[in-house]
Amino acid sequence: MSAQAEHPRHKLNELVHSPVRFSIMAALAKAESLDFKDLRDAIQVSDSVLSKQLSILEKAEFVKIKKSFAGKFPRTSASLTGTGRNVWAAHLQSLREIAGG
Amino acid sequence: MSAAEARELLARADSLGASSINAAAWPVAVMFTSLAIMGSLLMIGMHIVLVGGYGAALLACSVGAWGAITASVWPMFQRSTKVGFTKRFLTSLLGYFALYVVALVVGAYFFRDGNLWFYIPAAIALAAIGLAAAFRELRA
Repeated sequence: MSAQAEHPRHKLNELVHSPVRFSIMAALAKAESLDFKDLRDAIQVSDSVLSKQLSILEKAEFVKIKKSFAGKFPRTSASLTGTGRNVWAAHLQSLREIAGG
Repeated sequence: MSAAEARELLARADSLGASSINAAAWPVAVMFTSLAIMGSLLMIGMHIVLVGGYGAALLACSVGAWGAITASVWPMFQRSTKVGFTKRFLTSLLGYFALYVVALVVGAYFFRDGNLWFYIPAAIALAAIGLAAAFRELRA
């Protein structure tokens, strides 16, 4: 008697599944890197919310944050790490499996 | 989670991914279009000035060097880019300037007194590679 296959919802990544972090991952997935302001405008959250959620994703090593200066102005950009891209791809795959029935 | 919710999330991911990088390609497209215009104008200008004997090769070299420096420094300030931007940008930029240098050297060496049969195709080739690079970034 074979074991019943695990439902794909169990494979969803809890860290990525929260709405704001899901949006951050979705926006960064199609970009090599995104400016903080462009990312904030794309997912329509406040600076503080974005900062907090980016820190969580950075701690999980899904996102890389780069800080630099353009003249006197600080510039922050974010990009997905290799791990982040793999986790995102697996998360989308699980969603597709759920969507498929 | 239901299948409908999963489909909704997938659609949202697609839409967010596309909207986040919507504007990212335009600055690069504008830059390569400018290079296309600059290179082609210079090729025609080079022909005209060579006929008049004003050392146009020097002009084209200095403008080309200026263009190469500007084009290399400018992207360092661009923070939002599409996936694969670095590779696409470098190959397009190197392709453009390699053709520019070849056109310049061949023109200065073999067609010192001007020759529209060389300079017009060179102008078209530079315009074509610049515009191709611009469209390549827009469609990526």
